[in-house]
Amino acid sequence: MTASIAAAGPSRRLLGLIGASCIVILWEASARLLGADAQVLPAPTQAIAAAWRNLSAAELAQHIGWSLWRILAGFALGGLAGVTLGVASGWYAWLARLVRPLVEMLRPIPPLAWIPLAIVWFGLGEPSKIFVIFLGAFFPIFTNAWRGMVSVPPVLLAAARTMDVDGPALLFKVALPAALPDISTGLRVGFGLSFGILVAAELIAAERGMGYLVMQSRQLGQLGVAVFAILLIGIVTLVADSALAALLRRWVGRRMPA
Amino acid sequence: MSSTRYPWRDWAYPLIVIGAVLACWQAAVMAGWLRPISFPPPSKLAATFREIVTEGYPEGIGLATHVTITLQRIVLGYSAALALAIPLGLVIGWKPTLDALTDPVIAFGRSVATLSLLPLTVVWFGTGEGAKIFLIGYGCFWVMISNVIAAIKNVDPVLVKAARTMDVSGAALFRRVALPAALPRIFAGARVALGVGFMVIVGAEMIGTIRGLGALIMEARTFYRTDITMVGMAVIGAIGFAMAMGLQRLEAVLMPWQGREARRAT
Amino acid sequence: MKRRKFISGVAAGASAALATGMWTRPVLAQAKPEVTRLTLAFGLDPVFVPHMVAMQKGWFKDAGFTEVSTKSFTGGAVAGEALVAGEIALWTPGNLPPISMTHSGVPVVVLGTNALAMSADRLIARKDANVRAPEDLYRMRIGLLQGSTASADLYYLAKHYNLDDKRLQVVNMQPPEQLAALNSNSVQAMLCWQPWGFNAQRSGNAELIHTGLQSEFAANKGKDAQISYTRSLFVASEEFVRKNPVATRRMMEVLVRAQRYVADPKNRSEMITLFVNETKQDRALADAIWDQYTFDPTFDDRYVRDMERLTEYLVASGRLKSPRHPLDYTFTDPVAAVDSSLVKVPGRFKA
Repeated sequence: MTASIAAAGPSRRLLGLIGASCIVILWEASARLLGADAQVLPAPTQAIAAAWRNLSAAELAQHIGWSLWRILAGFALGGLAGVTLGVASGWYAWLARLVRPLVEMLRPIPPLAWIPLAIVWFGLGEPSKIFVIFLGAFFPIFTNAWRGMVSVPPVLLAAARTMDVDGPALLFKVALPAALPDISTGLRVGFGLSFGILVAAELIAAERGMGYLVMQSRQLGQLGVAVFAILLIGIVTLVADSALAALLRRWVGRRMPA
Repeated sequence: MSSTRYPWRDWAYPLIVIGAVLACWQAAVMAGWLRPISFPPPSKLAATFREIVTEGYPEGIGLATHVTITLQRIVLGYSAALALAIPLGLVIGWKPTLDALTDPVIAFGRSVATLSLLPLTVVWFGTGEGAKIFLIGYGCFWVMISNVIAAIKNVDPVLVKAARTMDVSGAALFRRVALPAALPRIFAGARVALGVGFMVIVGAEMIGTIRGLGALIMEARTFYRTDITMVGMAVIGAIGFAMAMGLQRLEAVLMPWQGREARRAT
Repeated sequence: MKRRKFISGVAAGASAALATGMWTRPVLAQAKPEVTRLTLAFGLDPVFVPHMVAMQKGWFKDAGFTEVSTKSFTGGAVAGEALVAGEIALWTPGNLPPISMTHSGVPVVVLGTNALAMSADRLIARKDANVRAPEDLYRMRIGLLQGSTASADLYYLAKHYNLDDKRLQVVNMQPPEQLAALNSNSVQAMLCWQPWGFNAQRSGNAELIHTGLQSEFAANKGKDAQISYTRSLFVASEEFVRKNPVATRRMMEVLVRAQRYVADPKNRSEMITLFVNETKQDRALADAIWDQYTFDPTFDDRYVRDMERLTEYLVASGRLKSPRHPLDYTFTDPVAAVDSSLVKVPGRFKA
């Protein structure tokens, strides 16, 4: 049965914790048992130990803080643009004809290819990194928002029209709420991709950040710290993602048709 | 998305927009507002395109070679990712317990960047085609599975309840009600996953190759051929677009009941 | 004309003072630099020690630059792209990237040599690959980063030992992946710059086969065999040097002074400490690789030859078509203004 929106909080979180723990334990075990040295695949404990040796808590907080700021800014912009454009394209066919091909052509372009343009347009500071993250977030959010609007059951709209609901009211009170689950999915996927694209974004002369930490430790040959940084990004993603999911569940759950 | 009465509109509008952008760009460079170093004008880009098609970059490796190799890698990586993600996603989406167990793992997997994986990939897969295919597949997999899970979870409960009143349950319920209802979203997910597959090719083709569109872009950046970078971006955009359109045709064939603009308010 | 002579006279006197390291503040009235803010590209290699010492000792401030900041780039083309976009004033790459850039029509100039880094390029192979003679290289996969200055070394190694470089199997990867691949036997050798050679040998199962200047093949161990033409260069955009002639000269004064300080054997320990503190790498590493870099600002025939060799490599590998003479994009006036004896071969670029 699709329990979707109504999943209970605490037990769901517990299960999630169990699932994650299993993976970590598996990883630790295989890294130790396969006898691989820390240069080839560090175990999680080795990675954490390496980070402990090389980073202070203050530094770590800075790395996390800077990355989060960039991600939130990029995601906010990407989400705003994606939802607005996606919903509008789903509602107005002429707009979809114009926008969707352009989006489909820009979507596949790798962020690493955008970097030179980002530097020319936005310089070496925060805006260029936020732009790259925007690129990661925008496309899935747009596609899902469009898809959500296009999938609104025509029956719903017809019924509303018979009750004299039309124009903006039809859009905002009927179509949009029906599209919310898809928009939610898009937001969650876009949020995840924002984290995934962080490393590429922070190639642009970042001095701090979790992505910077990954690349920096790579350059220094500190594989343990690099793995730790990847873990760190993952954990922060999880925390942020579950916060977003909880937020969306409350918001969408209210509007979901019975 | 095509209008049945004016199918040419599908192609005309975007082409007009692109044409307008290119014309403005050319004019801006010629007027001196844009520096040709950072924004090679479309005339130069056309010449560069000819260059990499005929002579190749580096010399001897033509655009056709680059495109073929990258497409091979994408098709293999993408297919492998979907072959794993769709069945797994359907099962996980159907059982809430599984969903709760795997949710954090999937969110974590999504967050790992291709660049982060490079050293580990070399250790696990060596430096051959396997490494590139794995990296491309990795990117596609997590996005696809998230979308498939969401697709099943978001099947209209009304439909499910209605089916139950008609004594349909278990596997039949899944196969004949949930799955068809979820297909549109699964296709949307496939489209997003394909985009991600292309997005990661520069990172994926950093291991052990100078052939491939991603490798071409890296070469172009390394040797400061901004014109080649842009042509590469355009080629990737065009191919990705074509494949997305292909997916769309497939969608229309498999799900003819999905109407399009019939109900638009305009 | 007279003003030029006056300024070069001042500069000559200033450089004499610089050379003795006793000059602590501007003694004579000099033109102020056009810009007071400088952004320098920065990294983790020893080649950045002159930048570090110049900033630490406040020499940039003495020269009139009130604000000097650094931008770090973890490798790759981003620094060059930033230079083109005007985001940084000074770039310190290996000598291959600027050659590529000028040939792609990007208006950059070489202002000076930071360091000779040939010896820092290392060909490392797994011990169990049993490399004794150059021909053994045919049967192994060699990790190399295409487009890096070190990549030219393999071409010249093949030339030196009469190998067919088409038969050499090269696997294109960045240094961290090269190391991972070497450790897991996906490649049997790697050709890279420091500290990767050091890191590779540290694992214990790899050995040095050849440096940029010297062979370690069993056949001719210890013999001089130059295969590397790697230098670390100071590069700026044409626009910058044209718009800011005084700033360019001041900047080069500071850098030459810093190079001389770093090169002075008396300061070795202090410089290594500075490097270790700034980059958080370990002292053993720094000690081991320090002497592989020679900080020497001289413009001479060797400079021209080194640049020509790399240009030749780019042509041979199909990435360049009409080679330009290196002096066409070399701007030696600023360094000549610091100390004319440094410029034995003048550059042809005129601002």
